[in-house]
Amino acid sequence: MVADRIYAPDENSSKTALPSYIIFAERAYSTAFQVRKPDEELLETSAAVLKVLSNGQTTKIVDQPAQLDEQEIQALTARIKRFFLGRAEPEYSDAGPIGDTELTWVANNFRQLRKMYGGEWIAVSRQAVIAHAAKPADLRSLLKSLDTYAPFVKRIPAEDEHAPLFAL
Amino acid sequence: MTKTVVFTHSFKYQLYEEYSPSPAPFVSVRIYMGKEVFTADALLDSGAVLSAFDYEYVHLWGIDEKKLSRVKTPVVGGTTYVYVANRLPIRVDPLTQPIKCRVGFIHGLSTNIVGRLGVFDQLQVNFDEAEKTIHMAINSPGN
Repeated sequence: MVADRIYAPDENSSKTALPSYIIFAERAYSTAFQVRKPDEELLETSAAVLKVLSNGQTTKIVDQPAQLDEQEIQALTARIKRFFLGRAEPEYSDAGPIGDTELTWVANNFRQLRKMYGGEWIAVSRQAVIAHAAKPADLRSLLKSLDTYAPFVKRIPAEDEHAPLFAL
Repeated sequence: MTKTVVFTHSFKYQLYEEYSPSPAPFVSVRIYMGKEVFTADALLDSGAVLSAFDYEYVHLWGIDEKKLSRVKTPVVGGTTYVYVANRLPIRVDPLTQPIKCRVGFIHGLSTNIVGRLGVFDQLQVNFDEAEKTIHMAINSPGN
């Protein structure tokens, strides 16, 4: 779902001197944008047309009367994110969906994984085991050398281990 | 009162082949440790207050054990100790940013759990047991 929201100054408002605001929300922000509108404080602060990307980055696409430098844009970006995401933390940049690709792959291949890595910790990325170790600290060391982002990590139970209580 | 919720994300229950006898509502959870980011599986558990992981994840994610507070907690058949991190950044879909949650670590916990505290109050979660599917959306005044 992609939401494009266009906020224009209220013609009846005393703030008509302010420039128009166009915020394009890509998928990740669509829900948030649909339920809230910018507040007056935000409008007064903002002085450029911004494109808010799904990863949280903001691109200035059209300059309006007040020119913003990069520092101001970054500050404004943080404010927009705080406004639309409430208590969410703005300092992280991977706002894209996590998905369940690796989880599903591990679940579907669990029998084989138990045969190969039973009792060990594994790290999975792009539907492949990229590292494994008996101890989690060792796996962490391996991952540091691999330059991989957000690997799916899990301890694989040994073949003689029983299913946990939740599944009974 | 009628409330309409538009769910934006759906995930099928997962069945760990030849381990769990029935599909269960597992989701991917992302954990943020500074520049290091990890993904793990966890069972969505609306009956649990606290999210909890096996204690071994403390070592995997490089959490400073000295910063964990130890809490004695009653469980079936006795008591156990939960080691609590008060502001661990975690994220599940469809949240677009991590939230800093209280997360417990328990020795020997075989299944990670996403509990209500900090997570469920930001999400609408629907368990479609018949379809073995979880539906989720960001909680908001209009949803």
